[in-house]
Amino acid sequence: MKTARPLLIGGVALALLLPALLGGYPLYLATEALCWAIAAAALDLLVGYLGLTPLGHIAMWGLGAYAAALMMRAGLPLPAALPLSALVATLYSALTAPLALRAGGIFFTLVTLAFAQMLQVLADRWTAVTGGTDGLNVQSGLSEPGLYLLTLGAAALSLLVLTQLVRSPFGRVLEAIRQNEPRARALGYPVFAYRYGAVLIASAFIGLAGALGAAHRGIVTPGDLAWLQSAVLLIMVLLGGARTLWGPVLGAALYIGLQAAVSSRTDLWAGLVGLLLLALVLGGRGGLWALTRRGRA
Amino acid sequence: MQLALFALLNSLAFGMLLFLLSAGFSLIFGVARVANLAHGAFYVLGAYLGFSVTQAAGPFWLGVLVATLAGAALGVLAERLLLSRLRGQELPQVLATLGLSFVLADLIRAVWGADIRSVSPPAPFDGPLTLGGLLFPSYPFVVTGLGVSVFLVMRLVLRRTLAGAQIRAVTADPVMAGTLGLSVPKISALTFAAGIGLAAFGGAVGSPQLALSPTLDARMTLFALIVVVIGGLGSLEGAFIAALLVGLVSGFGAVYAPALAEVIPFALMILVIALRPQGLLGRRVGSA
Repeated sequence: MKTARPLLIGGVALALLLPALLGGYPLYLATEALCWAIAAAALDLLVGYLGLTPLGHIAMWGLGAYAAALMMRAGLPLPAALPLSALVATLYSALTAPLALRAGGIFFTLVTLAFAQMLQVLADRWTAVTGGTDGLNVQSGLSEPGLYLLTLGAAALSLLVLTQLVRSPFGRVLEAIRQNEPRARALGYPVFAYRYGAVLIASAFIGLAGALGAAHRGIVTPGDLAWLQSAVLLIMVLLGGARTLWGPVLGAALYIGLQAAVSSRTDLWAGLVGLLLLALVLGGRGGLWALTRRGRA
Repeated sequence: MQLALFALLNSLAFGMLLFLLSAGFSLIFGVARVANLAHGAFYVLGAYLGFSVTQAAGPFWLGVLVATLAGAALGVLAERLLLSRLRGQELPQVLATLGLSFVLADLIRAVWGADIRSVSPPAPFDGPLTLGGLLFPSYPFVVTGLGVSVFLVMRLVLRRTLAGAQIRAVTADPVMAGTLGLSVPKISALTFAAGIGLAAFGGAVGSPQLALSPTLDARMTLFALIVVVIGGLGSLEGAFIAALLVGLVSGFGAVYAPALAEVIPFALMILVIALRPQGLLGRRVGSA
């Protein structure tokens, strides 16, 4: 860890200087990547550290985004709207996660996906609140560099908290549950409570990321809640490597760069996302994700 | 009265389409332990294949046949090339089928375009039917009849034939079935052929009932999820009952509470898993 310090300082300096070096579209992309990085790192808490497979995590992103948009339209400043949006996303998980966790296994995946799709339908149909397919416009009141720096700060804080968390006794128990759930149970750990707690924590960060995303894009639409986006978040985690926290951050940056490079040339983007997913799963005996898994075993 | 009967007829037909869709999903999960998130995309592919054959050659049922066979072949292909390499790995399998669904959906969009297509029912069933002095469209009766027949045939095959016994054995315990000398890979491939063939069959048969649109694949996959979660994964009877239930609540919802129609099936699902996490007729599946 000590040897990584100069690298880290260099990285931070570069990140802080970025608005001065870049402007316009590249800076926009950097902000976008940072938003996704927060969400991907938080999702890694569930996928990598806890071994759960949610497919509805985009619901937390979307809820955070809609909540932030609605609050800012009501006149709340962005810094106040951010934690409140994270809270809204956490409340959603507090209500839905017990059902999904109780169902367990592959049911967890299916139930979280179904819940997220229900939210998308709601966002699409409840036009009085969400604006329907037109979405909601958001005025963050910040300049592009200002938003970048705010997102950078949020990302740094999120990663710090998440890193501390996975190193804490709490994180160790999550690890134990993933590796051998019956043993963790036999040792007396309340497995359900730990899982529930981890889901709530991840939800808060994913909601925060969604709120930042809404502020930075200036709009939220029901499309932000599509299951394609859930897959995209998972791809970021797998691309960079699960169970590393920094891996998903890297994955987010790689993915956003790739998307920017390719999506201007084709409109079959969803198909490419699918191929990428297939390549990640099949390539290299199961992709980067399997590499990290093998490292564990 | 007429409105209620209409709603009932359409709900039954929709329910049977959902059964054709989710029976395959449930079968595949039971045998191969794969939650096939590309199932709705295969359904839509079947619908478009049937549509194209009908456009080119004429007979509707030839289109249904071609779609079903193509679906079965693609099912085997998907199992051989993709899922058999990931046997026993839950997350990679889910992701692989998710990736496959995006690829299929975009291929469909590239080949057939994004316009909404409607298919007219085949010849003797394209007109109305008089029953007790009331006029009904006749095609929903055909769909309902086909759905019930497929259910009865599947039940018979699963309960009374050797192949059915082998499928049930692998569903109950793949390791033990393999130890006893059953060829699990062969049975798994056959199940994929049957399951995805059924989905494509449902798509082709259902195309006059549901208009073909570019977002239909995600909707159908979701309906398959709701049905199997309500009915219980791996249970044919559960899939049948749940498909009927979901068909009824969404059909009547669309008529009497259009604002809530799309949310009602989810509400039903939430209610069921709150009371019975394993679904109405499901067994508890290990979380491994």
